[in-house]
Amino acid sequence: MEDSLLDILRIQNVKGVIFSSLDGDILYERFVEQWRFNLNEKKVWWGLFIHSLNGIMRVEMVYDTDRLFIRQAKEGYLFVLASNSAPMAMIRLQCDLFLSKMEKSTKKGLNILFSRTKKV
Amino acid sequence: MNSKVIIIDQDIHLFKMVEDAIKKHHRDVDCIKVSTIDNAVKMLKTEPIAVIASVFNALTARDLAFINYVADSFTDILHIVIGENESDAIRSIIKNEGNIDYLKKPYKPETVAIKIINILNQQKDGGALYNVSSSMILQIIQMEQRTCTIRLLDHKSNKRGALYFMDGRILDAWVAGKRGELAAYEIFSWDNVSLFIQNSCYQTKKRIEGELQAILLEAMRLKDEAVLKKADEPDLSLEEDGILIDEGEAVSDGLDRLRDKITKDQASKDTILDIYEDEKWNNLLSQARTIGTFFGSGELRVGCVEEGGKQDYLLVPGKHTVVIAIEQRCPRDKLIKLIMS
Repeated sequence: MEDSLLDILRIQNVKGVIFSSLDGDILYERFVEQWRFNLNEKKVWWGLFIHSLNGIMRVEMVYDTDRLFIRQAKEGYLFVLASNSAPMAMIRLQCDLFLSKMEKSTKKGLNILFSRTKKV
Repeated sequence: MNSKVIIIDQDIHLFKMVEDAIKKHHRDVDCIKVSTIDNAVKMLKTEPIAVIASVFNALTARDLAFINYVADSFTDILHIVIGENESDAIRSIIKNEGNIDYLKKPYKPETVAIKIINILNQQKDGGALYNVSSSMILQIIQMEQRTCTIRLLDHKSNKRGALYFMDGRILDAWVAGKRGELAAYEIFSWDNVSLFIQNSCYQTKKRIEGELQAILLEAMRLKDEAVLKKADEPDLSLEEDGILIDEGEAVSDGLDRLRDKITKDQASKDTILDIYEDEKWNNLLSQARTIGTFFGSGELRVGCVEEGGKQDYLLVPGKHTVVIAIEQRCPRDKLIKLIMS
């Protein structure tokens, strides 16, 4: 499963991948420039952001320079941050592939993946 | 512009050498020693840095990410990287971005100090102009077909920017968080700047396709639009005085303008179901703005929402959120581009 997330991260101009629980806990985060972000420090407003999604299946937020892809899975939200010059169709495809793999996985399997990277 | 030079090194020797050299030649430049990349990043975001010299042992992925970050996000800063060996990764960054100079260990601190002094001298070798309008001087540069780098400081916003010219043609532009045309639009809207001309240009890639005149015109148009938008906003002081303001007219004006813009596009016209204002998305957009600021992604321009039903929604943030209901077959990337244009 982690390989699928890394596949997304390897797409040209993708800056980072995050997976958070439906409650807003960050279960997995990896950035091309890891030191630039520390989401754990921003836990409160990250939770508020998740709350504001209010069960929406797919969201894309377009900014001046970047695009944030958000996909709801059974057990959480997938976030992909990419530059506006990144191949959008490829990112959407890889996100769908990840979600479909996730659907097939067991809950236990997911816990094994995310417990390794979960930060307290 | 009180520039600063950052030295990232555990050893004090290089810092002392550079600091002494700078004191002799550039009294208006400060030299700062930092021991970690994290501290350097914090300074990059807040201080007017002119040069960085980083001493690395074996280059790690984290070091490379930092080098790439500086090269990509701060194109006006010259970065002297000192490392043990020149890897393919660093060669690739140097090839793509011209603002890196690589020195292989062992190195002489004197060499680094001389390099930094030369860079600082070069950054103003074409002269400096104070309190001028950016667009005026830039037209002269095009007419004279000059090759140069121009560093600017906007006195109103305190923002820094840079423009790169090759034979009078604009190659690239930079302001914090923006590059290319978007950055050029912002710079050309500055009315009161100090600018420093360097008679050389290390950028080789052309990131701006349009001609300078076209970009200037577009920048002026955007500026006028921003002024109009500001004028449309209600004057709160009048509200406080009990004078009622008819918000409806200004709001529907913005909605109409957007409607006009997108319905002109033939490809997406038939897939647009409705355009209306709806406040129910304000919370989501407000949170999304916070996330965008955190990631340094700039302003939120458009949101695209799929709720799983037959229609999807494009959300255009503003004083009142405009919602564009679209069919699933709508060429949304094209429409988003149109909205952002």
